[in-house]
Order: sequence, then structure tokens, then C-alpha cells
Amino acid sequence: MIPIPYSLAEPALFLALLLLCLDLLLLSGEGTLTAFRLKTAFFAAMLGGLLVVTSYLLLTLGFVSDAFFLHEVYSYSSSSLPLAFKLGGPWISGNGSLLFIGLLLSLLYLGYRGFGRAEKSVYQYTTYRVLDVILIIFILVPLLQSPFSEVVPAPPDGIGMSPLLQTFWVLIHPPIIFFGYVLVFFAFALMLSALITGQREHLRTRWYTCSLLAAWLFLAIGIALGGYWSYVVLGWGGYWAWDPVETASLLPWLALTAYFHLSSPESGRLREIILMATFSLVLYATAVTRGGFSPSLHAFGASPLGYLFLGITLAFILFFLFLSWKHGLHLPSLNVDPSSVPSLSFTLAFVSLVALLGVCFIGVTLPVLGGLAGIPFSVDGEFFTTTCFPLTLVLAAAFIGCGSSLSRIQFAGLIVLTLTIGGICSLLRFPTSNTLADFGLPLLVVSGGIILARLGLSLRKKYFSFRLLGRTLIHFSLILILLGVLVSSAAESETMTVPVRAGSSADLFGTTVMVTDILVFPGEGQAYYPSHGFVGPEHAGLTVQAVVENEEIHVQRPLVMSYYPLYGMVSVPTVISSPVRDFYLSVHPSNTSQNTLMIALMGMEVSPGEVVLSAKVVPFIALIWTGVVIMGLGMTVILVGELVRKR
Amino acid sequence: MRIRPLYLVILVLAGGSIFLAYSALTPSINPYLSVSQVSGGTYAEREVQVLAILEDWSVGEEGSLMLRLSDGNATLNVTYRGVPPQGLTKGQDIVAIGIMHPPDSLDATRLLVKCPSKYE
Repeated sequence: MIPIPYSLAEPALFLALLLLCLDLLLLSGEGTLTAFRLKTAFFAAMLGGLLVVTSYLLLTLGFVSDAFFLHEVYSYSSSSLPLAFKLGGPWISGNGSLLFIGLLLSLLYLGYRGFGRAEKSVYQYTTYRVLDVILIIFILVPLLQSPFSEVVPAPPDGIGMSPLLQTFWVLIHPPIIFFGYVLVFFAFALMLSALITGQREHLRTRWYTCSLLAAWLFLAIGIALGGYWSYVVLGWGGYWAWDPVETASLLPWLALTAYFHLSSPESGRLREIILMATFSLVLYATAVTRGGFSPSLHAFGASPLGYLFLGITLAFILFFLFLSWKHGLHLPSLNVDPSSVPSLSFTLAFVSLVALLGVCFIGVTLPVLGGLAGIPFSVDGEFFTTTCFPLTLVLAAAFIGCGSSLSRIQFAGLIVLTLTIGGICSLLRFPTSNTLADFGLPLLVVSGGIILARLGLSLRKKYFSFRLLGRTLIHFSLILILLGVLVSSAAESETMTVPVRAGSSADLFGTTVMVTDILVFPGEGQAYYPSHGFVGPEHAGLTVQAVVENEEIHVQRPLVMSYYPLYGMVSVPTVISSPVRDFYLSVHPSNTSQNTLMIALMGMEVSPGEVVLSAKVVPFIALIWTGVVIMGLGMTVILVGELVRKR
Repeated sequence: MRIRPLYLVILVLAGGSIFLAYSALTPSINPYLSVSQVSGGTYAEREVQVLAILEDWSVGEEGSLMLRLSDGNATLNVTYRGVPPQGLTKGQDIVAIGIMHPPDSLDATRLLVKCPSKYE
């Protein structure tokens, strides 16, 4: 067996750091860039990037080959962990995920540098230098909190991965979000280089536009996947908790969405500021996630990395302000044609998005400040829903005017009419019992209808553009998502809990659940128990074979409850979906099931005669997921259009 | 001085947003309290948010969860009747939100445990 040189991983990262610093130095000093310097710089950067890739591959190998002397592998893996999760180990783990970001950035940089080798310009070299600085940060951080730290003495096995992480979603959600962040870094580097060199014409290139579009797409899909993962596994039907870490991840996406609502050529300066904000918010979200400044579902522990990222964010902002001052750049103005409804609508959309960004930023930052001041507190979801709801209605109203030929009076009249109808619906508590939902529904329905009607009209006139189709899909998807959020939250049922014996059935919300069998799986897998110093079974499981039947569905599904001594009791819900509602079902903990699993862990199969089932109905949640898919499709259409567009 | 209608609309929107945000913010701020802070009657019959360590838990009557939380100095008995969060483990950080009944019990309406992604 060939020994794997894990001890070279950190030196490789350190050498990569030095090589990128060398590249940065060699590319500085615009007047004396000789061919030799350029060639040396090129090879230094390429080698530096390859060393980052090598270091990452070594970590992956560590997971795959069960190198439990590596703390990261010990903490997140065990010998019985399926290969797919071992391969994902680096980005699932805490410190490894930072190296993963470094990997993605390195690969993007290697590709960009390789493709751009023929181009020799001050702008190009400046972009390389900015990317060097960002990549240096994401090499330095894994060196400070190394994923290659060792456990002494080496344990015989790992403590395993939390069963809640062993899902398909963990294999795709983090990489997609992180790639979105990397694309933001790339676009920012292009923008900053244009600002440094004064060559703003580069902000109309395909690289720049496509990186922004792709960044938005990956961030949107990444955030949506996190919500879906929570919905199907973790949150008992909840997909968004307004947790500081979740909300912080929304901030750069909101900023980038606001960016795309600055359409006029005169808005260039404002676009630069928004992109600066987007980049800063990515770093800020990283600081909030990893700093543990305030208690969060996602991060309870404090880490100096939070302060480091806050400091880096501040440094970039100050540099941007310095460049702005140096180039005499004025404060931006918002160019609006008050006589044009489309122009007014764009402005309304931009303002509402910035306001949404402001609300979410306040909601995230106040607990951070509280945590820093030693007064930990949370901001309830109520704050976000109360404040964001009217702003999203403003956004939906803006969609009505976007691209329309309505006069200002007609536009204002339509908005007032739909809001009046909404007010009447609220008073009558129709069609839901939630007054906010009833108030917003008419506006959303009218907005969605107008969006589709406008697309139909364009297609009838045989006018087609990728941008028009994509924008229509995105706007329509947002209406669908908002409708889904309003209706599902307003009409969601309470949870019903009933005991059911094997061979009998129960009626839950008009759905019959027949328990045909209850199977017990004694100790499975393998994990190391550090407090006892031995390797033992990782978990025991209980599977309830159930037939679920109502007017719409007839399915047979297993309901699984497992007990992991190191991670607790886990009962993965089964979600049976139809277009109008989701039926949520899981095994509820009881004394009987708990005792069964404890005994099973010791190797004995004692079937409980009875289990307790929990059920809930979530109506029209499919609107949200359908909206997300359409949103992704819409941006993909725009991106494809940009890629194939002749310049 | 003539003010353009558009600026008026933006001003109204901005002012309305600030007012809404402020009025929504104040009642939404919830301090994290320790077990020691809530024990003793100061928060009797009030809604509190307690951040503590889970010492032990079991299933009680009619599927309710009985938890014992601690901050190292005092303990708190929590009863929770909702769907339990996934992965309850002794020794983990947990947030219990609910009505305090002195001297040392809490009727929780929400329980929050850490997401298994450990970025710390």
C-alpha cells in the first residue's frame, strides 16, 4: 500500500501562498513587465493553484482512506460511512469547507489565467493581482484553522457523520453555494480592476456579465436547496427560520438582485457600489457563520475567524472608498424618467430590494453586535415577516409596470384597485384566515397574470429574446414563490400525533395510514466512542412499513427512526407530495421506541408492539418548489442568451 | 419649493419602511437568558428564551418531551409538547422558548438545536 503524504498538505498550502505572493509582486510595477517576469509570474500562479488543488485532494484521500489521525476525518467520518459522504467530507467539515472554497477559486483562476494568457494588458494583470489577493486570503484561512491537524494518539475509528448530514442534499447544497460565492469574488475582481485601471469598458465583457448572472443563479439555487433540505429532513415542514446564518446567506443574493435592476447606462457607478456591497456581504456572511458572534442554529461556537473576515471586509471597503476618492468618483444618482411607467417600476423594484436588504441586514447585525457586546439576543422571525411582507408587495407591484405600456394613472389605479380588493378580502378573511395573506393575494395574482399576458403578447408579435423570456420566468417564479409562502403558511395544519399498533391503521387528516410491519435493525455501522474508548455499532434503527392512502395517493413508504448514541434520536420524515398538498409523516419518539432502540444497539431485536406517528398537512407548498425551479430556468435562459449573443 | 411626486413616493416608502421596521423590531428582540437568570421567579409566567446545555431528556405522558437543562450552576425542567427537533443529544447546546413557571420549570413552545453542519 502506497503511503499517502498527508504531512505535505500544509507545506503545499504554505508554498502556494508564497508563490501567489511572488506572482503578485512580479505583476506589480506596470512599467517594467518583461517577458521573463510575465512567464515566471504565470508559472508561479499556476503552480500555486495546483498546490491548493493537491492539498484538497490529500484531504479527500484522507476521508476516503479513513485516516482517522486527521482531526477533520475523525470528527466527520467513520469506517462504515458510505463513500459518497467520504468524498464530500472536505466540504461538509468545518475547516475543510474553507479549503474547498480555496479549491474552487483556484480552479476558476487557473482556467481564467490559462485562457487569458495571450492577452497582455494592464487590466488583465490587475485582475490577476486582485484574484491573487482573494486567493491568498482563502489559503491563509485554512492554514490558520487547518483541516490537517492531528489527533494524538490516533483513534481506531471516527465518531461518524451526523445522520442528518447523510443525505443527498449535503452533497450538492454546500458546493453550489460556495461556487456562487467564488463567482461573486471573480466578478468583483473584474470590477475592481476596472476601477483601479480606469478601464470601465471591460465591465461590458462576456466574462463579467456571465460571471454575475452565474453567481446569481448559483446563489439562488444554493439558498433554495438549503431551504428544501430543511423542509424534507430537518425542520418538520419548515424551510426558513430567519436564523442569522440563513439570513446572512440571503444578503449577497438580495444585493445582486438589486444590481440587475439598475438597467440604465448611467447607473454604472451605482452598479459598482452594489457589487462592492455584494462582495462584502459574502465575506460578512462567512464571518457571521464562522464567528459564532450570536447563537444560531448553524453556529454556536466562537472563532477568531469571524473577526478575521470582518477585518478583511472592512479592508476591502476602505480600499474601494480610497479608489473612489482617488478617481474623483461622485456619489451615484438614481436616473428615473418619471413619465415612464417602466422606468418608475425599475426604480420601485430597485428601492424595494435595497430596503429588503436593509431589513435583513439589520436583523442579522443587531444580534451580532449584541453578541460582541456580551448581550446575546435573537431577532424573532416576526420582525422579518412583518417588515419584508409590504416590501415584497412593492416588488410585485413593480413587476406590473415593468415593460408595460400603461400610463402612470392606469398603473397607479391598478395597484390601488388590487390593494383595495386585498383589503376587502382581509376584512372578510377570504380565502385564508390570515389577514396578511388575504391582503397580498390579489396583487400577486394580478401581477402574475400580467407577467404571463405580456409574454404571450410578445410571442404573438413574434418577438423573442432570451432576456425577455428569462426575466419573465424569474418574475413569474417569484410570484409563485410568494403565493406558496402565503398560502402554505396560512393554511398549514397543526401536528396530529396518534399511537398505532402493527397491523392496524389510523386516520390522520383524512389520510389512512396502515402500519403493516415494524422492523428492528440491531446495531449497524461502526463508530468510535471517545468517552468509552472503544469502537462499537454506530446506530440502531426502527423501520415502520406503512401504506398511506387517500383520494389522491396510494403509496407504501418506510418510516425510519434511528438512534445514534453520539448524535441522538433521528426520525426522518416521509413527505408524500401532490400538487395541492404535502402529507408529512414521521415516527414520534415514545418510551417504547426509545427502549427498543437502546436494546437494539446492544444487538437484540425486540419489536415494539406499537409506534406513535406524527402527521401534518402543508398545502400548496409545491408552489414554492415549482417557483424555485422556474427561477433557475429563467436565469439559465438569460445566461445562455448572454453566452450565444454576438458582440 | 416644488417636490417631484416620485421623490414624495420614495420618501413615503422609505419613511414607512423605517417606521415598520422600528415598530416590528422592538417586540421582536429576545435576549438569550441562562438557566441561573430565569430561576428564582423574576420571569414568572413570562415568555423567555433560554440557552443552556441539555443534561438529559425522556419521553413523558402523551408523547411530551421532558428535558433537563443546565448552565453548570442551576437546572431547569422543560416540558415540550411539539414535534421534537432532530438529533437531541445530551451535552448539546439547546434553546428553549416558552413560559416560565417558577421556581424551575418551563413550558416550551419551541426547541431549537444546532444544525449538524458544525462551522466552529
